[in-house]
Amino acid sequence: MEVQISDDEKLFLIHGVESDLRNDGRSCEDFRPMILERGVLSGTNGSCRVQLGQTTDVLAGIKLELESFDTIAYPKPRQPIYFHVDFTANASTQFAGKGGDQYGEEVAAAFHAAYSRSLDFIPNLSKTLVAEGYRWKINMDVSILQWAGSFPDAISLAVIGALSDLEIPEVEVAPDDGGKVSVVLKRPRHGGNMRDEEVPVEMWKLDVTKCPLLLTVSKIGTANLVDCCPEEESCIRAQLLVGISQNPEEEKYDVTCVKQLGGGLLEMESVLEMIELAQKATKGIYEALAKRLKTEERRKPGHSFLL
Amino acid sequence: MSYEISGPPLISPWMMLSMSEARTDIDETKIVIPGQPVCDAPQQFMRGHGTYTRDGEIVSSLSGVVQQLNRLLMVKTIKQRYAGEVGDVVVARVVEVQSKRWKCDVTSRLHANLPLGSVLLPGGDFRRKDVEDEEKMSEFLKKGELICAEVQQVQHDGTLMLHTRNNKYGKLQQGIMIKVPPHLIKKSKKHFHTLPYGMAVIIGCNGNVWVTPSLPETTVEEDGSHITEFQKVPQDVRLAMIRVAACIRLLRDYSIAIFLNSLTTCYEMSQPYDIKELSEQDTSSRLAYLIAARLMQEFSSQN
Repeated sequence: MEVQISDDEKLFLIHGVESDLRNDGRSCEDFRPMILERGVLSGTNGSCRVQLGQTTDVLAGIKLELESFDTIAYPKPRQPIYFHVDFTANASTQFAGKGGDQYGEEVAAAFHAAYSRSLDFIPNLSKTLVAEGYRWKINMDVSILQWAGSFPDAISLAVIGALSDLEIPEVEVAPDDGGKVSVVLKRPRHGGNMRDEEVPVEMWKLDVTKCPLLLTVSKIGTANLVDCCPEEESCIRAQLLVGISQNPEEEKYDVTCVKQLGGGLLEMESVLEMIELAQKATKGIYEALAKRLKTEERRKPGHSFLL
Repeated sequence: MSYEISGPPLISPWMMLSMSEARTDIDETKIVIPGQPVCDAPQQFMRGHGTYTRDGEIVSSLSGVVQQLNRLLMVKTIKQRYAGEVGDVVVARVVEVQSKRWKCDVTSRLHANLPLGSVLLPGGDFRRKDVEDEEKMSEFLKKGELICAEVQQVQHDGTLMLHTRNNKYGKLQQGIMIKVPPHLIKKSKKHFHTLPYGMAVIIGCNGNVWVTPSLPETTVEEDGSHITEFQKVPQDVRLAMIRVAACIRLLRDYSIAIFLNSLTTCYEMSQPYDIKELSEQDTSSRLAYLIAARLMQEFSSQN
């Protein structure tokens, strides 16, 4: 999104960033207060809404699909999470019509790259392969409702939130005619004379502790900073999107992908510095996220939209 | 380093203020929505702005407050786009350089005009403005630059004509601009304030508030041109500016009128907190409640 800002305002902003004092009182390494809420959409299998500084607003929802595939064409297990990012025209008028499509595809591709090894870092994701030729496909739809800077950060938080909210039904596989199998939802029997449809289906959840965060790190003047607001984004020299996943066993933060957003040139030295900053930020955000996911109290779906 | 992830607020700021005692003195019968009759005895009154007659009744066409002037009834909206009045001080952004005039964004329905003849060019008041000046217009004010101006005239369609024919108006240099809804700005005699914290604010009537190290009039040279400052703003001044900016955002978020007194009250009361804490939910709501109460108290003791 383009914001109009004069050269003198930019000068003031850049000087401020270089002395580690931003226009909203934050230092370069600070994030705006984040709001994360799960279970906001009742029509999805898992959903999450993330707001950054009350302005960037991202909504992620997951729909599950039982997919049958050709075992000869795909002998190896594949990554089952599919991303689709949609920029609504509310976020900025430049996204009206098909305006946001190309941008959305670009961001979705970055998430595909960051989650390409999801079978490794989500330990129980291989359970989505329910039988030979059948698997749960996880369709992740992300919608940008409002845009005020650093939306990939918000998307990656919303994605993790939605994955942790996702409930996948347990299934029973029974052999069927002609070497095929039939997949039926698993309903634990409690006795009594309840009909089959009334018994709740058993569900299981994904382990998201190692899911990667995608953070934007920007270079303004000589300083590196995280979580830019739109005014700051108009002063950016170069911006990196760094995907980092946590490795709790070894207390390490592994880079899963790096992508440059927009134009600009970067020296190798500053690339390393920016990645280092992203790793530092990731640590803090993981801690905050874990705390929030643990303490969250569920409210009625859609309640916060009316505030 | 601070990373904080919380849940959505239980109530929104405006709900919080409507529950506080600060807003209980509003006469609710005077608030109308479109289609609602404005008075009980329509024969005795004349219809004014924001009303129309339907089946012999005077009905509001806007949502706002009913005002009465002798026999004339009108409805004044509470929240609306900026409609200028002659003499208002506005902070505007240049959006286009045209022949002999600049188009400026004043957050009104239409862009405002600043004619070349209404600006103070370097070299004094009575300089003739010729073709050369016209060619140099984009050198003087570029697209995207901020100016401070006064409304000289409101045209029939609502277009504002601006002028900067005074040393206190003109191009704005380093600083922070904060947009607030124009109805929060309280009109007063002075809109330029040098605060005792080593910085200054210009509270534009159109809802643009400019926080700056010094007012434009202090940087004027003898020939009327402004000194262009590229030097760094000192850290203590910058800190004060950022705190004032955070205060303005807080007042905006909690719909408290913005004028010198509310700003200084907010600044003084925000002292115990870090600047970045002011944008956090629980700190800001507590602070806003206290500020609103203090302002109400001061207001009632004056009357």
